[in-house]
Amino acid sequence: MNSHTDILPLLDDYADGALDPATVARVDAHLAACAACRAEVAALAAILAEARALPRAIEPGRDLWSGIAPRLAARSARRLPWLQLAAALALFAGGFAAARLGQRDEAPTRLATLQAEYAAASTELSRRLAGESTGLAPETRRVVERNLEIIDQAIREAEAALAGDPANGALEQMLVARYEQRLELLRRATAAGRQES
Amino acid sequence: MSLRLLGLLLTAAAAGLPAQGAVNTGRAAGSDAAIRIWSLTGSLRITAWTRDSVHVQGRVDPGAGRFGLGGTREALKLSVEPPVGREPDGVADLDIRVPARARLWIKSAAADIEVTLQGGTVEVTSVGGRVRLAGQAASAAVETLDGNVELALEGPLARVRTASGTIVVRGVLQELDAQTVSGPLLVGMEGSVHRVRLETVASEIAFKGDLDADGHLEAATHGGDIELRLPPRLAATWQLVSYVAAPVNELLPAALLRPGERKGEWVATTGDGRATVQVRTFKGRVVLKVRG
Repeated sequence: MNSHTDILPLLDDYADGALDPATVARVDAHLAACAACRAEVAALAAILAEARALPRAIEPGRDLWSGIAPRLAARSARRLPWLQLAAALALFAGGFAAARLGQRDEAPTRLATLQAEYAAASTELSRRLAGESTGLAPETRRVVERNLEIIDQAIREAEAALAGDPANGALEQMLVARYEQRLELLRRATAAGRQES
Repeated sequence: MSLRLLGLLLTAAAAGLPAQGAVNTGRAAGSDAAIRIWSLTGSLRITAWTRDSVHVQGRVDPGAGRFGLGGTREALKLSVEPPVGREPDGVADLDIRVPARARLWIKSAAADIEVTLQGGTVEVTSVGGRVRLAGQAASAAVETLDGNVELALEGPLARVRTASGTIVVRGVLQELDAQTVSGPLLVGMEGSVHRVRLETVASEIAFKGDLDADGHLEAATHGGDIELRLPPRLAATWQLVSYVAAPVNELLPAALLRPGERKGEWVATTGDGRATVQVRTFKGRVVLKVRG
């Protein structure tokens, strides 16, 4: 009995090396003729390798995003050209951190630069999200859109307030926080699109 | 056998969907094994136990996907995988036992997830299901879009991100980082916390607890109120910002709270001022109360 349905349940143990020699020979014989099962075994091996590589303790950085960005970047090699985007976002986040710590009299210029970088990153993520519309369930998409609108409204109000009080560091912090939250939501929504599909 | 039934069976076989129902299986695992769990719909109830093994009991609808449990003692994968390119048509309800210090990585779309830990770590990524973590955790992280998140944990570190879900946190944590867009964020801590960062855009933030002597509490929102309930003798440097109203202060001696240099800012120093409390809301109120 070497049919596809007989062999399929054995592939996990086959990938683990947990089968007896006779069963291994059966699976080998099937794999020689079945591309789908060969692909399944390859996928299982890759997942197990990833799991073995997990750290002994999960200790994310100060911001969860900093821990997630490299993993998104790693996945990009297989699925999407995320690497450049993750790098841009890392630069963007680093720039905001620098702006927060930087001299106040440099802030307006630096803020303007960062706003441009934010706009570019935000546009790119939005484009990717729109491109993956089939991957996001309609109700999830509505949740994302509703929350993006909430953040956009907050951004408009903070920008207007900052225009009237440009030296107010607390306002600037609020505005920057909203930018970061918008990017974070777009990034998670894009990831969810792949998850739901 | 009718042609219709034969056709259905052949279709199921071709799709790799053996008819499934009850699941009752297990395998040996190291006490700190890395375990990846992937199931899109239904429910996952994961409980740490003192045995060095993983055991799964439950039910998988045929349309939910193919159940699998594989791996080595150190790295296991448990999944209910729908065929590539197909939506799950059914749910999987699984009761999973894992070793006490297992490192869990759970991914779902809409499953309700409940995890009870005994010192391990957990990272949950979901879209819309409810997530509840309880017990002792070396670290805990949850990301979801629309799911409500409840943490009842003892441990050094927890991080939560949602968009519209409600976040409720209680327990004993050294560090908490929680962020949502439009869901309420409600925190009640036992003991003192070293570092807390709470952020929303359009919803309320409520924190009840205490800070370490050099602890830091940051709460920020755009459109919601922020209410802090803290011990009356907390020694801290306070910066409170609201653009709509002065703080409602039932905590600090009134004489110590004074306007800051910027519009909407109020500042105070109590005791040696070692701890820091930073609160910012654009349109909401800041409310300070004595912890009951």
